[in-house]
Amino acid sequence: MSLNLTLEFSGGAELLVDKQKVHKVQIPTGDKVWKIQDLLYWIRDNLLKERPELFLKENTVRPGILVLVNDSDWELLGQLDYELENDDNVVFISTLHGG
Amino acid sequence: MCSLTESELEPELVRTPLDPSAIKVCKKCKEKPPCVNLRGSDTYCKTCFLTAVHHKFRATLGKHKAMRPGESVCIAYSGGGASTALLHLLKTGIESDHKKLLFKPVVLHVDEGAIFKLDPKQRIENIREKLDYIAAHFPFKVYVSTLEQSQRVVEYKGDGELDLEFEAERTNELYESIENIKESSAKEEFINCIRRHTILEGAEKINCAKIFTGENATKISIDLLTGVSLGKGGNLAQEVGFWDKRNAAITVLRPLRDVPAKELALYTVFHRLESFGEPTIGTGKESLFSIRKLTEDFLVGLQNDFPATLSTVFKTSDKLQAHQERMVEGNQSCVLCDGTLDTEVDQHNALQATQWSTIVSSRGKALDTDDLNSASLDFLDLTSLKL
Repeated sequence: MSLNLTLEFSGGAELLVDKQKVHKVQIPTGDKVWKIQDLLYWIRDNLLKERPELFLKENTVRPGILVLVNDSDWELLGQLDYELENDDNVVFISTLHGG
Repeated sequence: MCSLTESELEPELVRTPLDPSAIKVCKKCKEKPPCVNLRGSDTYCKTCFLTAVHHKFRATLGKHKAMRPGESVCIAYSGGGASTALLHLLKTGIESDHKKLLFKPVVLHVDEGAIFKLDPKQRIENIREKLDYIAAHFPFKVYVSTLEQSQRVVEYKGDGELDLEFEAERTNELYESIENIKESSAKEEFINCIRRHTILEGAEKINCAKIFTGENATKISIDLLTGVSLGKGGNLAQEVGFWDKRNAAITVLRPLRDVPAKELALYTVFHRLESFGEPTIGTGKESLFSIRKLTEDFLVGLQNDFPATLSTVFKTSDKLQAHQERMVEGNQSCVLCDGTLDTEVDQHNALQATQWSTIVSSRGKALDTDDLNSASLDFLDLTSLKL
C-alpha cells in the first residue's frame, strides 16, 4: 500500500528541499494509516537536503511554518493527528522569509 | 529561575489546540465550512478570509488618507510572497467596479545579487524570472535597478530584453563594504540602509513621490523589538509606522502593516501567486546570527504558544510618534538611515551610556575607587569619543 501525495514548499521553505517547490511523492505505507506526524518524519529523512532543524523543531514544524492540507489550515484538521488520504495536497509555507 | 511560567499565571492566554469536531462553520458567513484558523480560534471560509484581507488593505490606506487620484506610486517588489501579494491586492483594487483604487502603481525591483557576488548571468536569469512573472500577471509598468548601481533604473517591457549591465567595480565595492563589516547585526542593518536608499533613488528616477513597501504586521513587530535592541531610539517610529517621512521628497508607506504574516501567506497560496524568495545573509543561519534573527525566533516561537504576542507588540508600534522637528544640529540627518541626529544632547542619554561602556570594557580591568572619583573622570573626555 502506498500513499500518493503532492507536497508543496513556498515562502522560502523551498530552499530546504533543493529549491524545488513541488514534490509529487509516493510513500510506501504498508497497512498503517499515516498521520501528518509520520509525514514530517518522512520528509526529514527523504527530502530535507539542508539543515533539518530549520524545518522541524522537536516533533513538529518550526514556528513560522504554516501547513495546509487541500487548502485547509491544518489547525482545523487536528494538526499532527490528521490522517492523510490518497492524493492529498500538503503545502508548507514559511512566513518568516518576508518579501 | 522562577518556576512559575506565564501559562500558570494567565491560562486564558495560552493557545489551546482546536478540536476539529467542534468547528462547523465560518465565523463570518456562518454558511460555508471554514478553511483557515486565525488568532488561535477564529475560523473562516476561503471567500470570507480573502475578502477580509483585501478589506484590511483598503482600510489601512483609507484610514491614513494615503493616496490621491492619479498619483504615481512606486511599489518596491522584492520577489517574495508579501511583495507579490501587494501587487495582487493593488490589481484587485484597481480592477474592481466598486470603489476603484485611482492611483497608478509602478513596480520597481531592486536586485541584490551583489551581496553574494552572484554570477552576472545567474543574476540576469533571476531578475528575468521575476519580471516576466509580473509582466504576465499584472498590468503595471516594471522597472529594475541594482543595489550597487542605484542610479541606473531600467524599464522592462516584458519582451525578454533586459538592458541591464553590472559594473564589476561597483559590485565588488559594495560586496567588500559588506564583507568588511564583521558583526552580522551591523551587516544586516547596513544592507537595510543601502536597500532603502536604492529604492528611494529608483522612485525618484521614475518620478514617484510615494513608495509602497510590503512589510506585514509580523515583520513590523519584529522590527520594533529589534529596533529597540539596536538602539534606534526616536527614529524607530519612522521605521515601523505607516508613514516613513525621513526623506523630504519621497514618502514611504506600509499598506500591509495591519496584515499578519500568516494571513498574507494564506492569501498568496489561495490566489496561487508565485513568489521568488532570494536568500538573505541571515537565511538558514542559527538564532544567534544576529539580533534581528534572535528577536524573530523569540517572537515567532512565543506566538505559537501565546497567540496574542504579536498583536500586543504590534499595538505598541502604533503608539510611536515621529518627532517632527529636526534637532538643532544644522538640520543634519544620518547619512545611513536618514534619521534625525540625536548625538548631541546635554542630558544623559543612551549614547553616553554606550560610550561609558566602551571605556570600561576597553580598559580591560575593573575601575577602582580612584578611577571612579569624579575628578579623575574629567580626563575621560567624552567629547573626544563623539562619533
